[in-house]
Amino acid sequence: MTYAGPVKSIVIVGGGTAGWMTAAGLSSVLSHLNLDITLIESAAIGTIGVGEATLPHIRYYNQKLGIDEAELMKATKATFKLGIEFKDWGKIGDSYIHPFGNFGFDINRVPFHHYVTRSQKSGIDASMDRFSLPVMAARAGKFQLPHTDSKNVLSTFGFAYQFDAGLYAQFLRKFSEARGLKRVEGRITDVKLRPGDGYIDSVHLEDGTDIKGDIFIDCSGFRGLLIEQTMKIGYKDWTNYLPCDRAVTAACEHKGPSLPYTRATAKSAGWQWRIPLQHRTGNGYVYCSDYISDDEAAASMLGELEGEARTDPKTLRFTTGQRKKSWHKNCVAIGLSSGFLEPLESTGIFLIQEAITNFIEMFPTKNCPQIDQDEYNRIMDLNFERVRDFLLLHYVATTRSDSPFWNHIRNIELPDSLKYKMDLFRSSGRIISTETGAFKDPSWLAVYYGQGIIPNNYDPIADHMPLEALPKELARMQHLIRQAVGTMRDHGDYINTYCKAA
Amino acid sequence: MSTAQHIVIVGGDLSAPMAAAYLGRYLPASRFKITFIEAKTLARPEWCSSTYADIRKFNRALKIGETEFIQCCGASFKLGETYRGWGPAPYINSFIEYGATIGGIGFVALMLQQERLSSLNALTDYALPVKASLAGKFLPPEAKGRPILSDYDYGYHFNPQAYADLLIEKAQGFGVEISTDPAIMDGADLVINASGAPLDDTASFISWAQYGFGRSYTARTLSPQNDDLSLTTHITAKATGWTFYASNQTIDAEVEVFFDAGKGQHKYECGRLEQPWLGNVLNIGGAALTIEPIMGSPLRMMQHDLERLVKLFPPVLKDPVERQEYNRLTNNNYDRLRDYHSLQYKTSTAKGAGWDKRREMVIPKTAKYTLDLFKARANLTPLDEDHLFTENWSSLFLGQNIIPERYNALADSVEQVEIDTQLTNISSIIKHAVDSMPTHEDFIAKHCPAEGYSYTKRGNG
Repeated sequence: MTYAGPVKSIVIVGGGTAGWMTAAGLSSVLSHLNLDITLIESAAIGTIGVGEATLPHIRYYNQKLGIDEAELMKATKATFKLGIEFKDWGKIGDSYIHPFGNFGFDINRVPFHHYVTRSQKSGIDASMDRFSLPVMAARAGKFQLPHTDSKNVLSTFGFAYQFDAGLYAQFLRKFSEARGLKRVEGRITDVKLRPGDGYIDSVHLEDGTDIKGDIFIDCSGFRGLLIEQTMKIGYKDWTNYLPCDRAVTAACEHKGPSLPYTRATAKSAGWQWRIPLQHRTGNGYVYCSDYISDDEAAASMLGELEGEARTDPKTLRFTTGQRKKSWHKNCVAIGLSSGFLEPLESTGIFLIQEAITNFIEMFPTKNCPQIDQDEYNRIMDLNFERVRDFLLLHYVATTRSDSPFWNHIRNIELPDSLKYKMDLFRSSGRIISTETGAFKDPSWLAVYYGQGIIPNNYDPIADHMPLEALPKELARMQHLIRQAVGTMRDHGDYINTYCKAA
Repeated sequence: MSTAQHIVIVGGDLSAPMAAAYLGRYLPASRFKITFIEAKTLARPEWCSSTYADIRKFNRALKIGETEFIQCCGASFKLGETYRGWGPAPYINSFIEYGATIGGIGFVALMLQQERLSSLNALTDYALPVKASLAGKFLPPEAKGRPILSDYDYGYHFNPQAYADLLIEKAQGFGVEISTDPAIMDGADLVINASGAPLDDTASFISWAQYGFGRSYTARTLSPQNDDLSLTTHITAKATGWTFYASNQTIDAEVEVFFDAGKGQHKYECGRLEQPWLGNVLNIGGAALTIEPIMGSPLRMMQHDLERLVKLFPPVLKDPVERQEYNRLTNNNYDRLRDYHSLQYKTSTAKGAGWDKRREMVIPKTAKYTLDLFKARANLTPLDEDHLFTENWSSLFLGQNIIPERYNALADSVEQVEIDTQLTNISSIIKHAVDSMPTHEDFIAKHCPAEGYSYTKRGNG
């Protein structure tokens, strides 16, 4: 038997989004274990705080914790998010939305998009957009909660939030402290390892106190205070695939109606996000420092703000990649300490959530058995690699040649995993479906079609439907969606009645 | 259309008529012409005489009505497999896991937490199909119904030759042409080799002989030998190997597997082709994979291969990409099957030198990982794209005395009252359901007896 007694105490190092999400998750879902959980954070270390976009998965996390959605949205000044608009990616002038929902309906067990390809090949006008309710609703600035009857077309989408991540962390801090979590203010100056097995014994604070624990969760951000600076785990550098290494951010005033989607606009040396919250808009230019200076990037970012800047531009540096192991001995890295992938598809919070859920599922005994670590790391590796491939698809599915940055991008040597997926899709529109990973078939379809990767052929079984019948069937679906969108509420109005911030 | 691509199916084992019917059903005639070259006899029919539950999906896809199927193939119902001599006590592996989730927690974890998991058989009261098979009772699950009563599944024991005949008839109805002339293979755009063996010696074969499998077998069919019509396939360990025994409405089939290559009438070697689909030849069934008849594996793989093929069918047959993806997925599936089968041997407690050797053998890495993870913490996360035995792993392990050391920490969060109430509930629902079911023999006599059905002497439970 390898049982070595139950875990009694957990120390979370760092109090950003990752730290507080972990604190909230452990203190509520594992409350029956009566764990002694301590979170150490230092007010001296600031957070980014420009607003953050999320994926629909976050709703399951909040539901599991028993958090009321409207209350949370109020507290974090959140808006609804139906997807992301990508501008100028495939080529300058392009625009498409990657929605949280399916495109069309399967016919004769053949996925819908094969009929779109068939139509396009037969000269029938058909674009994917018009078969997605969330795309059409986003374009029309509409929102309401999905219908509860799964047969109703108004149920065919999911949604996420655009919110202030700093306020989310504050919200979760209150939530966690109400559940007995102990917060310690202070800066860590030293980490002590146990002689013999090299597990972390305690962290030493500036004020002289030592905090011991059975398990240490490293939520210290990029630097990885425990996982890297202490454990020296090493890093898988993915900048050969995703070369952007900096971001400059600022919040600004709103202009125009509040939109239920995030925007990501490709620029000459990277891309710029626009995330509309209730009270302001978050902006940031993610760029590659080989191709643009910090000052030029800041000026370029500020030049595109829709309203007056509310904060000074802040520059962040990062290296895209993943820690070689997220869980090593009794140290688990969650959040930026476990790896960084640019926020192009809002995966930051998703990866944190996956890490916490996975850690709870694999909750170990005090000795952190190797097999628990292995299984956890296996699943996190799949998650990171699949997000990486999906992000990379946005860059490489392009014909842009208007800047040295894009010329570099077009010549990137793809990981085999992505090249294989793209070859299969190009040939006959097939998508590799996997259980683990944030992005399923509709997401891949949105980006492929949105960025001009159209299959050479379609599923031959689609030919069971006579070509003459196809336009009528497509028109029927489009009509159904258009009509449904017509009945939806205005996004701004919906927020006012559902979750207006004070 | 004159540009229709020509597909030729070379017959031999049961995968051939399955392919003819399934491809005939799904591939549009405007694009594909399908010809089926009939074989005189069916290769290894006994190996296909016991199915997994998913065969029902295959029949539904082909629009074969259940009564039509049962009467035509002399099928009886199958709720699982009885393993004798493999673990400390006989156990049944059905098509669902024992128990039910309580408070969102898996049953095995909960039973470990409750310290009630001394053996798999301690859970029998919480497994409807197991209890029903032991009582010789059968009723199909409720179509849209209450939990437990609609949650189980079933397969069949049947006559593969009759099924082959039925499928060929269906295939012809879907426009498949029948031929006896092997020359039509020349110039075909795709040859589907379903003959039971590779077309030539050049195909590279990966042997699994070191993973515990038998090396020879003797098969025979008999007239019904028992008074009762069993709801399970009987897989019985012996000192020299093991036996498979399955009874359908009119025939019993027996396969005796020997570890020694010289003992049985026919030699075989489990394993798979390195590439099932190479150029314009796609090998399916026994031509691509040799696997032993437990959990309906030989037939089940034929079905899965065809379903996968149709899902990926290349619009242009000479394009290599879909072929590559078909091979990748098929090989993953085959290898996962290998893992399951090898763990059946590896974890057995059967007695004899042949078995000792199997307990000592080195198993594939992925098989070992699955075993270790279960042993350590009752965890059975599928390896990503794999879903082959989700329902069966825990019964196999627990039945063969692998009792996990730890369980999911969340199991401690469920209130004792809830557990007690639910356990009482589940066992009472199951007890009542089984009590009120007709006997298997009576159910068939009433609904779907085939010609020559003779299991009518048994009384009403």
